Amino acid sequence: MIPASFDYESPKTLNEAITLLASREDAKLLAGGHSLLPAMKLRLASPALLIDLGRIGGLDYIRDSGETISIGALATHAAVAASRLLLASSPLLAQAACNIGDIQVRNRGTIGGSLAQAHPSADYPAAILALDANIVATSQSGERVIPAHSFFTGMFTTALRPDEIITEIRVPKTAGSGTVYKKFHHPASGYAVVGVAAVVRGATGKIDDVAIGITGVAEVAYRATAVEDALRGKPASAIAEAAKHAADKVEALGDNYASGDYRRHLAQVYTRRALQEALSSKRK
Amino acid sequence: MAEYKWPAPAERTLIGKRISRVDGAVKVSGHAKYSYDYNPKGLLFGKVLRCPHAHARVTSIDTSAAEKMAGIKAVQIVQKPGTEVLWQGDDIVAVAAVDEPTAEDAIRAIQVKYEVLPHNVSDAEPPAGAGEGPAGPMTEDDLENALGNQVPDAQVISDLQKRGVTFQVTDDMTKELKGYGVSDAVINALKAAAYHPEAASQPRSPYQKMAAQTQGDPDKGFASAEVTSEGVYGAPVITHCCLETHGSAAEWPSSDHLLVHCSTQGVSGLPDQYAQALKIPAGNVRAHQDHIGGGFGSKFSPDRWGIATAQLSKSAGGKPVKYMLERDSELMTAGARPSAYARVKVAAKGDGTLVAWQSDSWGTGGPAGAGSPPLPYVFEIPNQRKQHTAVRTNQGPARAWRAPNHPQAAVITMCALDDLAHKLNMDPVEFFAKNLDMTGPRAPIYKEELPLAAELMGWKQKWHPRGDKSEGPIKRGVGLSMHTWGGRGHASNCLLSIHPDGSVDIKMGSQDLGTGTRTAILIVAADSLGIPMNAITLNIGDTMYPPDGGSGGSTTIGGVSSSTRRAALMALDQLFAKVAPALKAQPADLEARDGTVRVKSEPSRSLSWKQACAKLGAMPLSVTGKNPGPGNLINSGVGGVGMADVSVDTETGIVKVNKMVAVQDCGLVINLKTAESQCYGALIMGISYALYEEKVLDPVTGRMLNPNMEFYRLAGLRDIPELMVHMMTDPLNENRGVIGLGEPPVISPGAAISNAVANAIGVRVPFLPLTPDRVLAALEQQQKAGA
Ligand SMILES: Cc1cc2nc3c(=O)[nH]c(=O)nc-3n(C[C@H](O)[C@H](O)[C@H](O)COP(=O)(O)OP(=O)(O)OC[C@H]3O[C@@H](n4cnc5c(N)ncnc54)[C@H](O)[C@@H]3O)c2cc1C
Repeated sequence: MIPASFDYESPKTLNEAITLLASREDAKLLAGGHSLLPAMKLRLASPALLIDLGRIGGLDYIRDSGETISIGALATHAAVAASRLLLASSPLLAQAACNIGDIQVRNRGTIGGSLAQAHPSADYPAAILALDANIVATSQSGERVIPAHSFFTGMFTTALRPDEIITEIRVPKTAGSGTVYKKFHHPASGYAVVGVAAVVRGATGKIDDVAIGITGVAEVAYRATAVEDALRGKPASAIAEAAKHAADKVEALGDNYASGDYRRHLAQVYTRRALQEALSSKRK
Repeated sequence: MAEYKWPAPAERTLIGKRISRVDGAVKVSGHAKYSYDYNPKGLLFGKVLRCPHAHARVTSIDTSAAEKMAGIKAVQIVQKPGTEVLWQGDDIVAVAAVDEPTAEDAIRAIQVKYEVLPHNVSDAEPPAGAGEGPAGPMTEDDLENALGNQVPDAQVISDLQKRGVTFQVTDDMTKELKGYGVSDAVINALKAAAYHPEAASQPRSPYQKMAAQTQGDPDKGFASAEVTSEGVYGAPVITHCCLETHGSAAEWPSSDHLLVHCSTQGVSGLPDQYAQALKIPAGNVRAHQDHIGGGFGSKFSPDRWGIATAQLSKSAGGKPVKYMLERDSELMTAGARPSAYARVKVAAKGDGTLVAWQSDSWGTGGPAGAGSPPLPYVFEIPNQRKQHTAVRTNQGPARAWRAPNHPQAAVITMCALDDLAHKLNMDPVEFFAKNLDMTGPRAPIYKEELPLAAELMGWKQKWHPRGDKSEGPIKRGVGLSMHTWGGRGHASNCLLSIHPDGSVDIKMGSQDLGTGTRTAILIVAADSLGIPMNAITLNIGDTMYPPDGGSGGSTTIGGVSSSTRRAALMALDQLFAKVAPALKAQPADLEARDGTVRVKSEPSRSLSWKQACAKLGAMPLSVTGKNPGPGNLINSGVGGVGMADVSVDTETGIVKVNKMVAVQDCGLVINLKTAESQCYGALIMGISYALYEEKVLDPVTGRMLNPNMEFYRLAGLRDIPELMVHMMTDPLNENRGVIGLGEPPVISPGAAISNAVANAIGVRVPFLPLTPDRVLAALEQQQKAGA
């Protein structure tokens, strides 16, 4: 449980960080450290240089940008969970954030770090997918906007290039829709055994549109398109049947706490519960 | 001469009251020092290279690169090339370095080659016929197993004569066996046994079928029964998962004197174990421990790593070396509770009277096979047939786990009985009550405890026939179990001194496992001497003090309370003799109460404690109270009842415990508060093994799949429901004397929770832990059977 030795830099500006990152292949960015440091202690990661983003000012904002809300990559899970702006106009991300780990993890971990980590059981990915959010990556060649659906490419892998830093996340406002994040916590780590993020638009009893992101079941979080297709334009009574397709065509991960079959089963139960709740929460 | 007995209820000032533990403040404020916290100047850090294979032979070890590394102070080979390693994580090479990262780097620089041998980590049901046929010559494991499981001497002797042995019988070995109390007859048979070295290398069946045991006439019993229930039940291998891992710090103040700070359940027992391994006189070994972070039966030996730590220190010129196990090593190697499973057939008359029991049980305790659970548990069913098969696996060695074999026996028996009650259409409380006359000497206490527990649980309101019929996915149910334990106090020596200035001190080699032993000793001494607890200085946890038994088998409270009581009464005898003339009274007419020594019939004729002690003159008085000793202060044998109320989400399989009840007797209670705490802790540990704990090994690689606390999960705050504890403190119980309590209340929770789940969802989940997938699988089977 002792990491290999490494060099450490703490740039004061984004530009310095970008330059440092481009200059060394064996460097890694350090944000909250709540994924990277455990990996280093287990020697799953042994970067030769850590570039600490923590001293860069002004990258932890959450602000109204008209159609969307913009979140700086260094915003902590706790800040996202408590953001009045998000809670008022796009609560799903905050609902996911308040379910992450424990208080210590939420106070240190950042949204940029979590997305870059792309842990198969992380909470944000389900919400980011259901919201069709955009991720802004910055490098020496400038800014690149990556849509959520093409961001997560595999277990612990993303569309980020080695020289890119996530700087911002843009989420659309969801006024008029019901949103729910329903999570089955791993009893020890707190990660999602299954997490279902649902955005439901519709009048009482009828579903106009729906988006469902599911994490924890497969190598990468995914959109439950089979459920979405089965529900668009349908009455609420269709939910129970539609939810049975929550893990269709998904290769489920299994571990010694929850087998693949059990995760698929949970995905169905939690999708049903999330949709029912989203539809009733919407009226508020 | 004093009469050695406990004070009458009206005279007790502290005994039996609710008293906060004396070490509470240092513990909650972080000031308590554990072995882990021993960090003297110049401390070196130990690390151990562990075998990655479940079964292998060490073929070569190259430590040269590690030895050359800066900061490495000692390298110690623990198991030489040629050694057969029987479980993953066993110690191979140890190093000591100036800091922990250097030690870890050195471990990575050591090259060990292994010949990987075939392993077996499965404790699945033995195939038909397994373990039958002629048994070959006995191995050391076979012998250890027979002796450890109280196989009758006659049987062991006949086995030795018929089968011979695969190992050379040495004088050291016979001396050691004698030390463990093995009879001369067995030792003589061992010396005379034929030696078959060639058999040692022959492959052995992993199954050892023990002799079948029969009582009464089981066939007739089953034939006479009106209702029979059959099922399979069991509990897997779990670990001790001590929050303070095993380990020690060792240093050599001189070339032949060793000082160890060891996390141990038996301080006084350590020197001899170190001395044998290190070839120094036991008297040259000093062991010390202030506080321990859990042992549960797994911390009586210095272990291979502890001996290696002492050897590292010696090679490093005597400098202190500390090595505490990492969490994964702790879970892999530092103790496994044997598994036990059984196919059970049990039958009753239509009115619920039990008539017959049959069980085919099996389980593993690692390489040595392990002992069999006492079946049927608690109930002496008149007609029985029992057969046990021990499965030898590369699981890592078994260690005693809080009430060895009893929680497993409770799961097998109480779940089988609960299923039978269901078939009889009887409320389990009524069914158990109907059969209490079969519980032997504890029957009267069970007859009081069972209705009391039912009342505390609200059983009448909560119980329903199997299967909660209410709407929605959440189903609720209640279950019960019963248990028994011995708990007679161990050998103990209490050195008590009263000084002319009035101060009192006690020295004992005992240890406080967190159970409140310090507090109990002070309560007994203070109550007996009539002075406040804080007027007494207590020293424990060191081999400089008189030896005391190890804290295992719930034997500590009986040992230390009775030796302390005797010491205090002896001391008062001597003190009264000195004081009597000043009070113009006979020593026998005096008593020590309320900080005075006074005449019983005329309390105003008194001296303050300080004035009285001044009469000692220049010399303190010093006495040693012993256990065993005169008078009947302790006893053995307790009963207890556990009940659980659970909710099960039938869609997710999650079991949530809503409430647990423990009703427990343990003779005379010294401290009601810490006695209740033992029960609370046991209920929580019970929830943990009922719902979460299992040592999972990969059949292909033989490696542990969950050697961390993310996947080897313990119950946490969120899992802990309303806990209700009731101690039986009526005069009938108190008159029996003090009896141990550490183990019994942990026995019933597993079975009680399993029975509650069956009551909630209408079907039995056969094996602990009751994980969501097992609950869902049982529901699915029930659905299939129904369809
Ligand atoms: C006990 C515990 C419980 C947890 N439980 C949960 C849970 O329930 N749900 C959950 O979702 N997560 C959980 N986590 C993970 C937690 O949310 C992490 O904080 C998060 O995954 C990583 O964020 P970080 O800021 O700590 O990143 P770091 O650990 O610092 O970095 C993680 C990775 O992202 C890279 N990185 C960091 N910032 C950027 C950036 N701006 N641009 C590009 N790359 C970047 C790093 O180089 C590294 O590879 C848990 C962690 C712990 C320790």
